[in-house]
Amino acid sequence: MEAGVFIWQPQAAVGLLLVATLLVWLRGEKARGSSCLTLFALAGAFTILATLFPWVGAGEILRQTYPILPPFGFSFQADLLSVSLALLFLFSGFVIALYIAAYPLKHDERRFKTAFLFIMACASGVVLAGDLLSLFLFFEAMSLAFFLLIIHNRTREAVAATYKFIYLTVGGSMCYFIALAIVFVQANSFAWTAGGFMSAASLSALAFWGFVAAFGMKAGMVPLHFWLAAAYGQAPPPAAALSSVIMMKTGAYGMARIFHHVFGLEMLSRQGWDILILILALFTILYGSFCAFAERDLLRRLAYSSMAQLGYILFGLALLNYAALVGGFFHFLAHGMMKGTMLLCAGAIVSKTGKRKIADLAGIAWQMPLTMACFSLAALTAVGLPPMNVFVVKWYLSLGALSAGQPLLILFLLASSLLNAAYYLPIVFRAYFGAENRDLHASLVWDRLPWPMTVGMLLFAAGCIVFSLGPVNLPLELTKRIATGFLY
Amino acid sequence: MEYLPLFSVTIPLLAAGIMLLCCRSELAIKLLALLGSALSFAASAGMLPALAAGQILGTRQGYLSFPLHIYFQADGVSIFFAVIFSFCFFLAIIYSFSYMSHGHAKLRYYALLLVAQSAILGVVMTSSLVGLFLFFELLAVVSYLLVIHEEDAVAMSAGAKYLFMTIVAGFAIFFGLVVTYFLAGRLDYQVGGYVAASPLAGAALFAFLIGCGLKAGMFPLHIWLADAHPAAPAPVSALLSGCMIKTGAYGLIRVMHYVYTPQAMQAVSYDQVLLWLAVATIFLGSALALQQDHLKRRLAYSSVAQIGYVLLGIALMSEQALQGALFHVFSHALMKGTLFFCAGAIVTQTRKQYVSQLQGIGRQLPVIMYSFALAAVTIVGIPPFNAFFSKWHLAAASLAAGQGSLVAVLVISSLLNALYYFPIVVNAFFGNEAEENKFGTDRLPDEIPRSMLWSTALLALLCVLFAFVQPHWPMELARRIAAGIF
Repeated sequence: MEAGVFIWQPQAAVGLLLVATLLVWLRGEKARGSSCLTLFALAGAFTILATLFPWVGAGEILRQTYPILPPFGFSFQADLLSVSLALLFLFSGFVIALYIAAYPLKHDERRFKTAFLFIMACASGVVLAGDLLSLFLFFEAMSLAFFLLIIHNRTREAVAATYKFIYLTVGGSMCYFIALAIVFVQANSFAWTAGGFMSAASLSALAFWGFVAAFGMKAGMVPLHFWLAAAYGQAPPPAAALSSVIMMKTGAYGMARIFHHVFGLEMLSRQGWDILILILALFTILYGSFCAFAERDLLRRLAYSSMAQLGYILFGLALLNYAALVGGFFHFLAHGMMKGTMLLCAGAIVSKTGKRKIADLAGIAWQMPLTMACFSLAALTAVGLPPMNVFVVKWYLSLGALSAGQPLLILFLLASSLLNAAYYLPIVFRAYFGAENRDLHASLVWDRLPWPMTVGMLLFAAGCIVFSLGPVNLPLELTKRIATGFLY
Repeated sequence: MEYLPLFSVTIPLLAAGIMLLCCRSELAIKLLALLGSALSFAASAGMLPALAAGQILGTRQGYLSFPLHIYFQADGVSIFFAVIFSFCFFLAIIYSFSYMSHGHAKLRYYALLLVAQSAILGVVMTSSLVGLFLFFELLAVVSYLLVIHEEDAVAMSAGAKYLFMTIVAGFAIFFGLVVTYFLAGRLDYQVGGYVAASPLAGAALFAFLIGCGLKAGMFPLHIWLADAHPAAPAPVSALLSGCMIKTGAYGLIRVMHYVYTPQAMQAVSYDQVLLWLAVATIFLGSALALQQDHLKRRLAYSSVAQIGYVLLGIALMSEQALQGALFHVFSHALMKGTLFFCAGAIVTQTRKQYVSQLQGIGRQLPVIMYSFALAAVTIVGIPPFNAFFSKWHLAAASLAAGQGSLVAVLVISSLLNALYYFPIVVNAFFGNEAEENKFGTDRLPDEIPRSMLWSTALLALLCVLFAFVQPHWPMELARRIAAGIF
């Protein structure tokens, strides 16, 4: 990967978001103005990055290094994966920001919105960073800033959840730091290199698992998942959406980079690490699904479900073949849209009715029909019904399992889908039907949500299905090209 | 002409959409439902000449990308099933006009019926297993919503059982689908099949057997059926039993004759397994039906037995057997439709649901009970009623296959059919009314809303009518389709 032409877009996009963060902070509590600023900044960054598409679309890998961060400088890299993911993040962030603009945060809006935009800037930075150290910088800043969102409600439980999160994050960065040191000593390079640049020396394993721990913690991988449910249970739902749709994905993204561009697939399979990751992914999928099934709080159920779904991505990465990689990468989009819809719907329900217990949600569809319609579509998506996005993911992951000669792995995916059905569909059906709901039909009222919240939910819900409706699935074609670029 | 498969699927869907968006008066809802269903039936029936000519109708335009495309195409098998299905839906909608007149949530009900019609036609009108799967899943969700229409505790629990079992069936089919695609790189239909024998192919075949068998109500996966069918409103029960379980048989025909090669099936003794399951299904369904006092449950178990005939015909793997199976799809749809329509009429008019309560009911509802009697005679298999011909062909094919004992199965099963249907008829007309069941003399005979009466009577007449028309064209079509496969 030699240095390409000078590019300014990644720096400009991240810089724009950081400047906007500062401005939001300076504007103080003037809510409307800072929301508009946030939306403009996200849209601007999106536009700037979109201009890179002609180059990265043609398969070029563009790098830019600044000699400001020893030992190798601070670098950005724009390839098809990073630009696509950054655009996905910025779009999702735009939708969530729109939602937050009307969400009743009750207090400390400035802090919440500043932290949100800062996390958006850092998340874009994570995927656009060109080497391990630059990524580390953004990754840490993003992770630490998230505690401001978890602690937002300032309850005793929120503080406890925040501590859990912070200790795990710091632990993760220690692991990353050690791994980084080993890489520095052994390979004397940090930059992404196709096929990897690490050699199989004695400490390589430690470095590998250090990175996996840092990224796995963010992605909610077993056994580093336990911050998730507490954080989702306490943070305001839009913050949970930010975590599910964007932040957890940066963990999965980091794994993909580590596998492909630091250690290389050959080394992974020679050392048997891919098998271990696969086992962890299966545990994550099943454990997350079972916990979600057992959970009675809507937000906590969604947290465990996110964990299980991130397991799908790890599953796709661990199988190391083309079809599985397509499935894993496409799940960035599929899960983002699906879980984004659900979390925004959950936020609407919580903010409107104060109900969080699943048992209390019976008949809610006659109070909030639009919200539950979006939620239902997302729930059917999560089960993996065609033609929605998650079906595409399951299809490619299953093909990947077959290509790897492991047809039985499909049963794990199907078991997880069945659990998805078992913990989502009853919510949906009890919200609409049942003897006690028959009288509610007549008293149907519309959701009475502020329009930005409604539009946010609808945008994510549309994202669950719209790409499959045309004769060509554009994001899927893009994903295939990314996977091809990764493997050949 | 080549757009008829697409139209037959999309017209009811479109009608349902319009209905949900802008219909608020009951008359408009009914008219739109009737129109959508009728046009779709007309589109299906309009394809019959193509069936007779042996053409494949359709365009090469792919729709959706998830990531597979679906193509709307219809060959003989598709058209045969589509005409039966859409006709039954059309009659069920007419029947619903009076059945649902005091019901709740009519808009939802009719819209769902239209979507169900669209989905079931989609199952047969698409030209690959992908479309089959897509519309299977849509049909599963829609039929769940129809089963729980009453929203009482019984319906909700029956619906939940149905939904989760059918979701598992969907997963089994998904497994079969992805393995097939992995092995062959395609999922379309081709006479004679294209997937060669291999261990994975065997696994996929059994996955399809689980998925399609569950949809069909095959033993031992029939356990959802006896709860879901009685819990639904009567027109929906008629459709569930008459049409929707046939989609499982349709799926098996496609998998066995159009996707997998005979060698792949022989490698795992697929036809033998299916044969034994079919025999078990026949006996078990009949035996359980005998025990039921609840009329709709008895009819539901009878459907299990009857789908066993269809599976038997498929399992014998010969032209004549398949002809018998296809014809039985046709005859069972009509007769079980009639029987459920009658059961619904009895419930709405008298609130009686149990067989033991029906003594003397023929004096109160003569036309309904005549129709019931006609369908009962048909189902037992007495000539010249429809089911006689299917059993005839099945028996002949069994003998030709050297499986004489299967004839005994058919005979015993017919006997059991007689045992659990004829007493109902005899009691209805000649039974002494128990004191508590005495019908008031103030009711006029068959004071039944007309749409209910006519649709029931028409369906009952069709059980026998074709025997008097030469040539016997449903049988002729079944013969052509079977000849095209073997």
